[in-house]
Amino acid sequence: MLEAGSTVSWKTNHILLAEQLVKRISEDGESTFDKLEARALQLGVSMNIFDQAIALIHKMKSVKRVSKLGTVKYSIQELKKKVQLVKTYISLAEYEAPARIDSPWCFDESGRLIDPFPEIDVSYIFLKPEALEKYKAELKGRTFIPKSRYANTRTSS
Amino acid sequence: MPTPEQVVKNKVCKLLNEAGIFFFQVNNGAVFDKNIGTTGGYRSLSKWAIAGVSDLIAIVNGQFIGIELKKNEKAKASPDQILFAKRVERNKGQYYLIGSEEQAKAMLIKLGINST
Repeated sequence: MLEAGSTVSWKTNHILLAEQLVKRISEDGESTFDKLEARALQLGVSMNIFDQAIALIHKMKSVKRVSKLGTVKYSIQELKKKVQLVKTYISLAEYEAPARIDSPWCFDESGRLIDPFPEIDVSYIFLKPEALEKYKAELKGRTFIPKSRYANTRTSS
Repeated sequence: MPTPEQVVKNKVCKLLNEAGIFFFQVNNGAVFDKNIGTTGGYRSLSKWAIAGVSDLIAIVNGQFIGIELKKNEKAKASPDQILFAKRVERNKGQYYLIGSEEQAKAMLIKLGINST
């Protein structure tokens, strides 16, 4: 809790100082612990607050740190984007996007997605292998002869 | 089977014990809890616990000495350990990075302690 009349600045608050240090690192492209320490001493920052700020920077994923020759090198690194799961057809259908006239995908008055190609039969995609064979045979006008699953394994005695 | 760092730790601790130095090991690692999540996880450290604390802490004639143990002499300290070293030295303590028995003996000579 802050007292009345007290002012918070980056010289007295380690969180604000950490923000300033990160800004400094990003401006310089790369910086070292010694450089930052010298800069803090020059500006009259308490070393205790500086240490707390550095400890906070060490927890940041966006700041890359490498220990080299007894000192620490800091640089800003781009975080990897989180992989987003592909949205399902249903969730896309629920998405209230403005319908484009030239787009084949559009919505009706109630907001439901209209199938742009209703004449195309895609029901066979979801058929079981045996049913698919039957469907193909019927499509070509052949009579479907179901295969026995163990036809090749049986031996006549 | 002990890790290379544990081998160094045992040798250094034996040496410090023989020299009659007051020292202790710091257990500052996160504790594994099988009840966290589905496959278990590590408990978060206390608010005031800091990262990079040295493996051993010794006190010689009122002087704080932090000893960081490494598996060999070439091993480097992590950024958190370097920060801890800076903070110790700023507060007039001493910090040593030790990767062999010879380095531990050299440290004892520097502290003015006869290890034999």
